[in-house]
Amino acid sequence: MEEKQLTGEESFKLINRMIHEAKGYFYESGLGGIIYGISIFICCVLSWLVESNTMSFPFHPLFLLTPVFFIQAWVQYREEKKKKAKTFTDEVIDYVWTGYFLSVFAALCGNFINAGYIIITIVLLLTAFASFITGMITKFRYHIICGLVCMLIAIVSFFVQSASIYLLMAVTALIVWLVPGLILRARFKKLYHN
Amino acid sequence: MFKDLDPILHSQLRLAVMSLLISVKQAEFTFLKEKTNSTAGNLSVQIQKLKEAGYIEVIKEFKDNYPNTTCKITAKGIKAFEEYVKSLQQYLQVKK
Amino acid sequence: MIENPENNFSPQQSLQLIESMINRAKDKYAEDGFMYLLWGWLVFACSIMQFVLLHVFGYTYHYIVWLATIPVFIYQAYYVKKKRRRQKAVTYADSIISYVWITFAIVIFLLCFLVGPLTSGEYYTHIVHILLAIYGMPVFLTGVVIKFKPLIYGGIACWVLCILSTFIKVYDYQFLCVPAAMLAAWIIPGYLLRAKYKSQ
Repeated sequence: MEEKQLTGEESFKLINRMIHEAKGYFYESGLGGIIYGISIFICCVLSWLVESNTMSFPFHPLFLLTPVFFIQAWVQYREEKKKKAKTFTDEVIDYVWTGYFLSVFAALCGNFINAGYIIITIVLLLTAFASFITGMITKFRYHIICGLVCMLIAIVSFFVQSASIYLLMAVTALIVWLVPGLILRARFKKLYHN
Repeated sequence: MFKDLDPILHSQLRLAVMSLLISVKQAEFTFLKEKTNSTAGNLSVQIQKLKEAGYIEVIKEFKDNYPNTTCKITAKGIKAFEEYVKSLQQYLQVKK
Repeated sequence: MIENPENNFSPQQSLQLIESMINRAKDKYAEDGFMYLLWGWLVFACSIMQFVLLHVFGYTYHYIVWLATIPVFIYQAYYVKKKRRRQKAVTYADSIISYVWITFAIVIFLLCFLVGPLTSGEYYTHIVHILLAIYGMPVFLTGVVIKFKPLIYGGIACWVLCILSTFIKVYDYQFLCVPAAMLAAWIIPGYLLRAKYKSQ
C-alpha cells in the first residue's frame, strides 16, 4: 500500500474493505469439536451398554470424559496461540461454551439427589441452547438447525427416561460436535493448506 | 476540502489499520501486515504514529520465544474514528 | 459467511456496517434494569408464595401462583416492542442478548408448561435443581456481553445455589433457593444497572 492523498470515496471504500477483511478472519481448525464429538459418542454408547446390563465396566463410563476434558483444554490453548486476531465473535462464543460447561457441571451434581435420567435431558436442553446461540451469533446456519434438532431430541428424551437416553445423547454428540468439527476442518484446510 | 478530517487517520495505511482494529478485539502485527498488504517497516512507522496519538495500544510480548506485537484500539481511537466517519459522511453528502 | 465486499453493497449499507462496528467496539449498552427488576421481584414473590402455600398450608395446587407470569410476559412483549421503536440502532450486544433470552424463554416454556403435564411430571421433584442449572447460563452470558460484573457473579451464584440445592434433603426448603437466586441474579444486578444508567 502506498501513501497518497485519499479522496472521500476512497477512504470510505478502504474502511469498508478492511472491516470485511477483519470480519472474515477465520481460524478454527475444528479439532476441538472432533475430539469432543468422538469421545462423548463413545462414552454414551458405553454408558448405554453398561446401564442396560449388556456389559460391565469398573466405573461409570462418563467419568472417562474427565481426561478428555484436560486434553481438549490443552489443544484449545495451543490453537488459541496460533490465532492472529481475536474477534468479538470469538470472544462471545468462548463464553457461551464456558457457560455451557459450568451449567452442565451444576446439572450433573443432581446425581447427589438421584435425579436420574432427567439430568441427561437437561444436558440435552443446555446443548441445544448453546448450539443455537452459537449459530445465531456466527450466522453459521448449520449450528442453528443443529440447535433446533437438539431441542427436538431433548423433548423426545423426556419420554425416554431409561438407559436408551444415552443413545440420544450419542446422536447429539455427533451432530453438535463431530459434524460441525469436520465441516470447519475441511474449510480450514482449504483456507490454510493450499 | 479535507480541512476537518483528522490528519492522523486520513492516510491510507493508518486508516486501514484503524478499520481493522475497530472490527476485532485485538490483532497481531502479522495479521495487520497481511490484511493491509504492506511492508513491515512502513507498518511499524504508522503504528508508532497511531500509538503516539493515543489511538491504539501496543502490547509487546513473547510467543514461542519470538517477540510478538499485539495492537488494540483505545477509547480515544474509537472516538476519533467515529468523528472521521462522520465528517466523511458529510463530505459525501455535500457532493451528491 | 464471508460476503464479497465489492459487489452489491450500497453506500447506505456500508455506512451501517461501519456504524455497527463502532458501536460494537464502544461497548455502549444502555439498560435501565427495569425488566430485571420486574422479573426478579415477580419470580421472587411467586416462589415465596409457593413456599408458603406448600409448607404452611400444604395446598396441593401450590404451583398455581406461577400463572401470574403470563400477564407479565404479555406486558413484556408490549414493552419490548415500544422500546424497539424508540431505539435507533440495534447494537451487537442487544442482538446477542435477545437471542440468549429468547432461547431461554423457549427452554423454560418447554420445561414448565409443555413437557411436565405430558409426562405426568415426575421430574417436578427436581425442578429447582434443573431450573437453577439452566438459569445460570443466560445471566452469565448477559453479564459477559455487556461487561457487567454483578451479572456475571449472579450467574455463577445460580450454579452454586444449584449445587447447594442438591444437599437440601427436604423438598420444601429447596424452593427457597429460587428467591435467593432471584436476589443474586436479577434484583441486585437490576438495581446496580439502574444506578449505572442514571449516572450516565
